[in-house]
Amino acid sequence: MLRAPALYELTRCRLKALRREPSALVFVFVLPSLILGSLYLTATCSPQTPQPPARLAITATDVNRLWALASAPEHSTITAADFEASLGAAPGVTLLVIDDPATPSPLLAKIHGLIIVETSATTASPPGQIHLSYRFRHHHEPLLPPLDASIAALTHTEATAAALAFHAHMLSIFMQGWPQVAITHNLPQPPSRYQRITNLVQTHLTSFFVLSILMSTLFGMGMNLVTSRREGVLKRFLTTPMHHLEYVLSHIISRQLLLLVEGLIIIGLATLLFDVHIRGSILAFIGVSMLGTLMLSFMCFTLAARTSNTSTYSSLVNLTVLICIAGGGLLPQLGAALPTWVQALSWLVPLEPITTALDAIVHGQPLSDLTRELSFMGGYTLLFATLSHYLFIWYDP
Amino acid sequence: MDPQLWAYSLPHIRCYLNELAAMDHQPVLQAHNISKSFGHQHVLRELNLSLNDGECLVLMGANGAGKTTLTHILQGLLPADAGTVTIFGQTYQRGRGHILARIGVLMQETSLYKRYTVLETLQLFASFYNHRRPSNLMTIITALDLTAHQHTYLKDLSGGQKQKLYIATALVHQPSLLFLDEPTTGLDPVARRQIWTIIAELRRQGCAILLTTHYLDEAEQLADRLAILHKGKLLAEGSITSLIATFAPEQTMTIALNPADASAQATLITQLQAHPNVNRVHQEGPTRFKVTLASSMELPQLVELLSSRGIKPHQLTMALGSLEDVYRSLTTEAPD
Repeated sequence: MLRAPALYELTRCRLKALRREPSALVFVFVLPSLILGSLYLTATCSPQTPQPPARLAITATDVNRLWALASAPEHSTITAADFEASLGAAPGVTLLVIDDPATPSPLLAKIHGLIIVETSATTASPPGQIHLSYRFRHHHEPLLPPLDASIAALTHTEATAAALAFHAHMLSIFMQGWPQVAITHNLPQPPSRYQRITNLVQTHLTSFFVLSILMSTLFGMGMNLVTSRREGVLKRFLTTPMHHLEYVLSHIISRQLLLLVEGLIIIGLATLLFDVHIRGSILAFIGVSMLGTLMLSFMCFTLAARTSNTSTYSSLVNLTVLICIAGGGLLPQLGAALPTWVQALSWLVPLEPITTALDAIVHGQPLSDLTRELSFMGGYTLLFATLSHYLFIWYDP
Repeated sequence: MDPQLWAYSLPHIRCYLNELAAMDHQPVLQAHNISKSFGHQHVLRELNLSLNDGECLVLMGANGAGKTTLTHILQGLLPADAGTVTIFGQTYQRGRGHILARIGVLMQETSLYKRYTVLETLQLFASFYNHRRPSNLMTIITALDLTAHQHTYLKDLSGGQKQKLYIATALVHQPSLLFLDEPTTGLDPVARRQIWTIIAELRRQGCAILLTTHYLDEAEQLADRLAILHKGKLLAEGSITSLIATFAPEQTMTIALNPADASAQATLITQLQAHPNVNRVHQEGPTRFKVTLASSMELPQLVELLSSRGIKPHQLTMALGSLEDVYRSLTTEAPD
């Protein structure tokens, strides 16, 4: 029968032990904060590489040449080299071919693989003006910011070929510095260092979070178990009416409480510094994290079940983490790059369902879509709980 | 009614009542024909032991004699291969929780949480027994002279203070039976005396104590009864007086000679061997002899014996049989 006072005191003991162990504090709280803080400093404080000014190097002649090239029957496709040759060398320029999405031109189809451009003309422009919006898409970039142009006193032609000529003409005017033309734009720029690091954090946030839980659980809790057994603390407890389950639960409860703090630090800092958001339900994120931590806690009890010293246990944990990383359990991106047969086996890596489920929640998926992951986590929890129940020894006779 | 009774669940109450009925007739602890082997090694062989209320039984034996294995079996940590252990009329198989709630344990070479203070450690242990009243804990802390260290981490305590804390953890629930495994090993003489005082006070309060030790003086100081264990067998058990009377009844006389006439005197002393009341004569050094007598003699008789033989001792020491003699005679002469 569980007794609340014993459970409370044991849990308090766990939390106090952590609070009073400087290395544990560093490991669990300071290290993740330092990593995220360092990334932020790297992203914001280092000197930015100056971007070359974008130059639009298209002329009516170039467009005509391009059009002629595209129309030539001997060219079934226009390659990047053709395109570059047509436009002339323009370093630092992400250049464009323009089309009206309503009437796609053969030219656009030809060069789709290189640059995709969408244009649209809005009829709601102020009188005397035509508002043109350009959206540029390069095949290497997911989405670049739109380029907007306000051009006064010009006529828009809807025909595709004419539109090409028109835009070329407009651009050539711009190139000559015609004062009536003002182009307010965000020319496609390569992502800044901050954006790149933000992308990195966004992509690997759940992996980082799961790794943090994994390490703090396996090392923080496991080392305590092994040391307590080696020093005879567990044996001493066995001579009291303390129930085994009280001891196990105290570890699990304290680990869950620490998880909340860890989550607050990691997710909070990621949100604060990198504007990373959990698009799905926060409660679902917390729930899955707690289930994952429960699973890892029992995994920890299993790993520490018979280990007699901390060196052996460390080796065992390092091996486990290595298997998790190599098997793609921590980094789904890595998992996707593995051979198919390894990917099939990656479901055997216990971390895979946690990472996948948390990642899905971060990207906005509801909990109902994660039945498989949750089932695996529940199954692993039961498996490790059973194994630890039968394998765990309280003292080495 | 014992207030602890209310903390027990119904099965425990039943056990408690059984115990009350049984305690009128039974010892607090009874071990019957206990045997234990690890692989092919027989650690305990058909061992019988009992401990009564308010009694201190000291268990002695060389390293590897089986003391720790025996105490582990008695504490419910190890199952015996054969035999039964009954504590408070219950066995561990049927009344484990009940037994554990009434025993206190001090283990050899155990540690507790190093970054926990004295008071926190006691609170933790008290919670295992549902005894969480701070006043009780402070009473124990005061009794063990740990008041000044109640907020000190375990890692910062001295060896003696740690040992007192470990004893305190065994006392938080006012146990009826206490297992103390080598309670003063590694302590300085002052700390040892303090621990002895604590143990004596516990015994005076009626707590049954099973204590294992290597120290003969500790056994002499604390034991009501002594049990000597050797290679898994219980060689002897009884009060110290009875053990000495049984196993070391001989009186010994140590004679130190003047170096000037030692050689002549030595011959005379050697000739004592022929006397009917002398068992043996053993030369311990050039001028030192140990004479073992067959039966005890008064000092005037001894002086007369020596003077009649012309022996003029420079120094004469008389000694009765000691616990060391008992221990040595039992453990050196015992068959494997």
